[in-house]
Amino acid sequence: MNRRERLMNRLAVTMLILAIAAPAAFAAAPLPSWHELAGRRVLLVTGSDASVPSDDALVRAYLEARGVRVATTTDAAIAATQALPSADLVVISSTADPARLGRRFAAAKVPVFTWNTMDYPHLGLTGPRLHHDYDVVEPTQHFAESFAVLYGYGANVTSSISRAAGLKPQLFGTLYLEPATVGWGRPGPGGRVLVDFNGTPDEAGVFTYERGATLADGRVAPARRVAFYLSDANFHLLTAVHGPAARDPNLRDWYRGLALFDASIRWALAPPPPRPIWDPRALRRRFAAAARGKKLLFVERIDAGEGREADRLIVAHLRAVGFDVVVADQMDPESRAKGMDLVMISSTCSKYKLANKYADVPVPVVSLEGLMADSLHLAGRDRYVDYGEHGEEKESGDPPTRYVDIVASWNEMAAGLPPGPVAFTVHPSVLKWARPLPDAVVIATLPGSPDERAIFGYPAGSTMADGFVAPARRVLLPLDNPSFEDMTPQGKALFDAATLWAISGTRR
Amino acid sequence: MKREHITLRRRIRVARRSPTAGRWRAILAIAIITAVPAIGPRARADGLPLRIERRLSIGVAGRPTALAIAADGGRAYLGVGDSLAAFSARDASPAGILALGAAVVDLQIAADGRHAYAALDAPARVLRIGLAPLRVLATWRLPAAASSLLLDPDEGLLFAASAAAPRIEALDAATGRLRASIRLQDPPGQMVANGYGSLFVAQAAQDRIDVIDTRRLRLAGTLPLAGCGRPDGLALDPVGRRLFVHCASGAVLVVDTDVGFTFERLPAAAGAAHGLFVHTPAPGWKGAALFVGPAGTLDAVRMLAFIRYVDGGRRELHVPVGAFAYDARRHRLWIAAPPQGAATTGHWLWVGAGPAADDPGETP
Repeated sequence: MNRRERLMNRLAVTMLILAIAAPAAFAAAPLPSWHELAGRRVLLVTGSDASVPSDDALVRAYLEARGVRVATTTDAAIAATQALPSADLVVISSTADPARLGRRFAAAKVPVFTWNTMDYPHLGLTGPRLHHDYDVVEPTQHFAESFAVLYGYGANVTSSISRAAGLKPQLFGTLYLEPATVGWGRPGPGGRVLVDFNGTPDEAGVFTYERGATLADGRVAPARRVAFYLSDANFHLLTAVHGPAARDPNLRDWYRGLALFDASIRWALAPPPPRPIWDPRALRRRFAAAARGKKLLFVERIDAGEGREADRLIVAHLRAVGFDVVVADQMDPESRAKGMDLVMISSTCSKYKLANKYADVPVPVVSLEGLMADSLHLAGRDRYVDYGEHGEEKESGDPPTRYVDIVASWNEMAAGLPPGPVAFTVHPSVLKWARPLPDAVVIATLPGSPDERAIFGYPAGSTMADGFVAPARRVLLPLDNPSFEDMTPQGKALFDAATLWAISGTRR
Repeated sequence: MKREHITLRRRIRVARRSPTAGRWRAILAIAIITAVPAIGPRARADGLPLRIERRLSIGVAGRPTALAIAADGGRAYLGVGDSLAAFSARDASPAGILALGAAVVDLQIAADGRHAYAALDAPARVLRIGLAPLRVLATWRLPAAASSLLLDPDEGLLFAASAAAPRIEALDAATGRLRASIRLQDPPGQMVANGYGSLFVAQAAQDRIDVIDTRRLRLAGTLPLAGCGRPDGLALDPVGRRLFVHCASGAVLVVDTDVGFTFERLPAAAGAAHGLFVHTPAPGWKGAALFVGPAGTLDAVRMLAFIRYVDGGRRELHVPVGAFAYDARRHRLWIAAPPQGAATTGHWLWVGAGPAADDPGETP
């Protein structure tokens, strides 16, 4: 075999590997087409007063034109009946009276798609406080603001909906250029914000909950939930572009309103991922299969005092799983990551000494140190606001804790653990947290602190803090210096599941 | 009246000087504030403020088929019978006639007011006509008989559409040379051009608008029209970049031409209609899209702002319509009605915001 043939063989093998790995590059499953959804039954819940101007009929016509069967009912009919009509998707218009609906759909085991903002708290999509947890902006009371909400921001670009709608991390036109009435909500940590207003995810225009995600009221979503910024009579103003302008990619990216609605409905109708099962052995097998032969750079403070034993145990665990582990000191150059499949940063590292290393390496990074959230672009730069810790003396007002609160039990990173508090360590310990951007999937928060997210991951291509685009997956798993040997089986499963998730994606 | 006015001014002056001036000013402010909303609803409640101001005999025998009014408001030109007749746009008095030998299907006047273009049905021709004096300057053949004609002065092009053929011919307006034959899926309806690169063509059979790139002379895209059946009439506001589409199914859509987006849907008379956009057709009206149906209906879309349009109302004209055009200088819609019964000449209807004609019959 001459040199040329060897090169060709290498190229062929590389192409084969890329072809196999490519589908895994997409963290989110593609959405079904309308053709695949034909015949699904949609229950459209509207108001009872037909004299109220609304676009409900247009919504119905839009859905029917795409092949789904739509039955319409009213809030009064819902209030008067015991059994809810069966459907594959419930769509709740803002024309329905939320007081009449009450909590009738809160436990619905079918997906719910709603633009009834005042009903968000009933569904558990947001907290109960008007103006704080949810609000309706409309021209009579908020004339100037009703123009501001014509501009939405693509807060999430990696979800199935975002990809299908072509959402980008930039402004876009939500509704056509008239003073608009829109609703926004502030979802709980189990929600995913896709579109926000006024530059803050706390004013989310579009947000979703996966089946099994923890809702804002602490309950668990029995099926998918979508909240959308529409109001009574502006479906027809959802932006779209036609004619010669549609050839301009910049204009196509701006007029995304209708595409976003379309993709959100299809996501709601699509089957959710299978529920992960708590099975540590099966997890270990999957982890071992994925880790076998992969190179892992473990970055630590070599001979660290307090965490030395913990680092040794972590490395031993990773080697036992099958990783080819290379240990680097915190002062080693970033070039040590070259040729690696994963970089794991130990919490023994000094943030000050590690500097900005490993932030932009094109391989997955797992950080066990939450205080590096800003230098790794996992969160903003305001210490103790964007990131912080529980339990560290003199640095935290919160006592040590041993629990994390699972909010995304549906995700494989949650290791099949049920929603709610899970013992992470045997003894109360220091636990770090950060507030990631909406592209991150939040797996667990600190107990009683839903805004302090302990475990989360960014898919490749995510928009991270400072406008940084994740070149590969990024994970925060707060494992303080001496904690590894103190982890519960659940904690170790979370460690394995998060690391497995990190290496399961490919580079961007 | 004058004394009352003086008295009121004096009262106000006194009020300004007096210790109760604040109270007077407050009363005045409240009166103004309450008066303003009162004007709005009343104006809307009145409906279309355009009414038939006058009815006049055309005075030239034959069926009117095409009408155009010079931009300077001096002359109106009417295709009537086999002739082109000129009239004073001030009082509709005859100002000349030119025999053409065939009926004029459509008529366009150049911006300079010196030339006109007339499409003849049989034979299929376009005539370039000098207007002072009236005479035919050139005769150009068309591959198919035109049903409508549109002059795009910015591009120096004349577009001829045929109701029988799925294409539009683009002619050089100076020489008559055929520049392009633009193929469409179906025969085109009304055309309007924005003067900066786009020609919009109603495609009634497809429920959409075709957009022609007038520089490259080819189809540049299509605009879907949700909820619009058989779009036929078009009106364009090139400043606001709004296209008003009359749907024979009984609606008018307002389309943002920049992005092809329909953002307003308003009621209109069902049936065919052709349209035009006019500025300030009536006091308090910024603009309107007017659609005139052959059976004698006038529908208006009122412009309140570039992003706000409302149903401007409807008026039954009670006569069939042969041709219509707008005199922007006098804010007057000219409607040429064909002869009725045994009559050999038709009528002018002048529609505007002035007082209605006392006599609903003829007032020559």
